Amino acid sequence: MKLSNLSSLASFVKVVIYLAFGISLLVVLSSLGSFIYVMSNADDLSKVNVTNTYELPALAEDLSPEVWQSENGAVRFRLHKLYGEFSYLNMPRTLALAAFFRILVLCGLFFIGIVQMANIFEDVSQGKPFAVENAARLRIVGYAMAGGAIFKFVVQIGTFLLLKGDIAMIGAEIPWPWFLRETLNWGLLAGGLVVLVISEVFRLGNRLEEDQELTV
Amino acid sequence: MPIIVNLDLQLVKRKMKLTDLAERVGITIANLSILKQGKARAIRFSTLEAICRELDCQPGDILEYQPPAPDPSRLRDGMEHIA
Repeated sequence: MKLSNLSSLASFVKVVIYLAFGISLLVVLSSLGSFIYVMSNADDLSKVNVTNTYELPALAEDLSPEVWQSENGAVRFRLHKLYGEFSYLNMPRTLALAAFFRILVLCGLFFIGIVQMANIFEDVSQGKPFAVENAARLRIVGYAMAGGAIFKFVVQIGTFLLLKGDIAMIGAEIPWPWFLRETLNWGLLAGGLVVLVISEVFRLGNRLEEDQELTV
Repeated sequence: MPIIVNLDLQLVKRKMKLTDLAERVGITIANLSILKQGKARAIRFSTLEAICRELDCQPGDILEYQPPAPDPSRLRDGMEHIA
């Protein structure tokens, strides 16, 4: 591919990255708004639709679409027939805090990755894709991706185990294999590991380039 | 690095300028400057050969091995161990 084509492609990708950055900023702001709303109206959420992230097909098959209670009786859900999606009618503040903490950290990691990617594509559009800093930037992106996947898995499982009484329904068995499989984002984890390997190749390439430049 | 480049010394001995040597050897003055300042990571045999030919000297006249000075902190540790 010609360098000019690469530069124009990089400029296009840079625009897409900045768009993603803007959209994710909106997601953070809307999450913050939702968090404030849930924290102030935790006792009665019937006016809004606070839907759980999970759609449990097993629940749709086994349970009828009506209002259910959590194991400790403190939280009420409305189960929707389609896909077993359910909404909270009230929500413990600790659960809202845990969910917001997870979103905030994931968005933070996403921002870090996006900023690094923007910097990389800035260098690519200037015709120097193998700049020394790009290896470190790629490594940060890799750690953010893989770390984000692992963090999401750990926090979601941890939240579930700690607040099981608030989350699990009376009489409903949690489909653990499905839950574990869905919670870990294998694509993100594998992508992060691939980016880490590429960053190592970049680092090695930079070292070879430096050796080449300093060989007389 | 314990390899010392004595190119400047050889140039002074022969009253030759770096630019002249660069022209004769056929490498850029920037690369020759890297070598003179001791910043080079490696030197090609062909470059060494050309420099030796133009300066009429041996590789040992240009390159010299100087063992690194012992680390004072490690020396102190050793003395404490003996004491």
